[in-house]
Amino acid sequence: MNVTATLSVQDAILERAIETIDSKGEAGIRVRDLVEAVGVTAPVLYRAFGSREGLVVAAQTERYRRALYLSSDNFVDRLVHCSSREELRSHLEWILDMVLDDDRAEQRRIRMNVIGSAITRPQLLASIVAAEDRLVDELVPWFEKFQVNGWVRSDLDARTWLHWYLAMVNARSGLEIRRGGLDAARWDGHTRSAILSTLFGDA
Amino acid sequence: MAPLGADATDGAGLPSEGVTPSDPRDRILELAIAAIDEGGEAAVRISDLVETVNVGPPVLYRAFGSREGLIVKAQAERYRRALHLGEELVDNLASAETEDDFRAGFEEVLVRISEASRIKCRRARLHVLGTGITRPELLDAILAIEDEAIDDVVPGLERAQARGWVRADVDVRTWFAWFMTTVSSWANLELHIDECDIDGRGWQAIAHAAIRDSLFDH
Repeated sequence: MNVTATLSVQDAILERAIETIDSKGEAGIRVRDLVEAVGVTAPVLYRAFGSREGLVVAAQTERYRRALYLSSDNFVDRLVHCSSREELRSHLEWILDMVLDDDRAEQRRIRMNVIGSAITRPQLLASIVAAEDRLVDELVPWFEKFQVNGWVRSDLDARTWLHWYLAMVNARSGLEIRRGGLDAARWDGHTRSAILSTLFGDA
Repeated sequence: MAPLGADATDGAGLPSEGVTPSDPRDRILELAIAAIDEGGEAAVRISDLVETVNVGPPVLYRAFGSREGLIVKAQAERYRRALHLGEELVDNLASAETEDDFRAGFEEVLVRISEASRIKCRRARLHVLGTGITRPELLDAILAIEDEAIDDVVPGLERAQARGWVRADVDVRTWFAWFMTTVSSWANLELHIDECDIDGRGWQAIAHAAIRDSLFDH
C-alpha cells in the first residue's frame, strides 16, 4: 500500500474495480475509465496497486474474500453455544440449509470464477489460498473442541475437512450453471449426507 | 476440422508431449492448449502460434474467428481431456454381469480418480470452469462435454439400479453430475494441502466412503 494515496482513494479505486469486474469481467478494467470515475490520475492508481494486473489481483481477492465469508457466515455464531452432539448436528443442518440455498448462487459463481482464473496466476492464487487459510484458521479451534468433546470423528484432520467442506458447498455451482435437467433436491441431499456422514461418522 | 484423437493425450487425459497433428489448424489448437497449460490464456500469442506452425494469420482467423475463439476451443478441449477417465472403466461398469463385478468396477474408478496424476486434471477443470462461467460459448461447450460424459455412464448405472445394485432412490443422472463436480471440487482442497500429504491424513478413505454411501445401500 502506497502512503502517498489515502486509504479512501485506494478503497474507492478498489470498489470501482470490483463493480467493473462484477458487471463486465476483467476485460472491462480500463485504468483510464477507473481513474476518471474516481476523480484521480493514473499515477495515483499505479502507485497504489503497481499495475493494472496488481489492481485486478487486489479486486479479485476482495471479491473472493467477500463471497467466501458469505458462504461460511453464522458458522461460529451458531455452533459456539452447542452443548451436545445432537445440538451441533441440528445447527449444522440449519447452516447447510442456508448455505446451499439458491440465494447463495451468486457468491458461488464469484468464487468459481475467481479461483478458476487464479489457477495460472501465482500472485492471485496465493492471495486466495491465504484468504481461505485465514478463514479455516478461525474455525479449526472450534472443530478441535468438538473432537475433544467426542461429538465429531476424532480421526479427521480439522484443516483438511474444513477446506473440503468449503469446496463441497461451492461445488453446488456445478448444478447452478445448468439450466435444469437435474434434481436439485437430490443433489443437495448427496452433499448434505456427505458432509454430515464424514463429520459424524454415520451414513 | 478433424477431431483430435484420444492418442493425443497422456494417461492423465491431458495433452502428451511430442504428438504433432498434421493439420495446421489442429497444430495451432495443440500449441494454444500447451501455452495455456504453461502460462494461462495470456500466453496465447497469435504471432508466436502462426510463426511456429508456419502459416499466415488468416489461416488461424478463418479456423477460429478470433483469438478469443481459439482460446474458447482450446479451453474446451483442455476440459474434455481433463474429464476423460477412460472408456475401459466406463465399459466395465456398463457390462458388469454380477453385483461384485459392478462394485469392483466402481472401486477401480475411485482408485483411478484418486491417483496423483489426476490432481493436474482437476486443477485444469477448475481453471476452465472458472474462466468459463462468464463466457457463454465456453460454458455451453463445457456443459456439452459433461453431458456427453453423463450420457456415456448413465446407461450402466441405470442397468445396475434395475438389478438392485444401486440405491433405488438415486436419480442416476443427477448423481453422476454431482459425483463429477464433487471430485472436481477436490482441486480446491488440493491447493492447500501438499499432494503427498492428503492421503497421509486419511482423507481419501473418508471421501471415498462418502461417495459409496451416496450410491449404495451397503
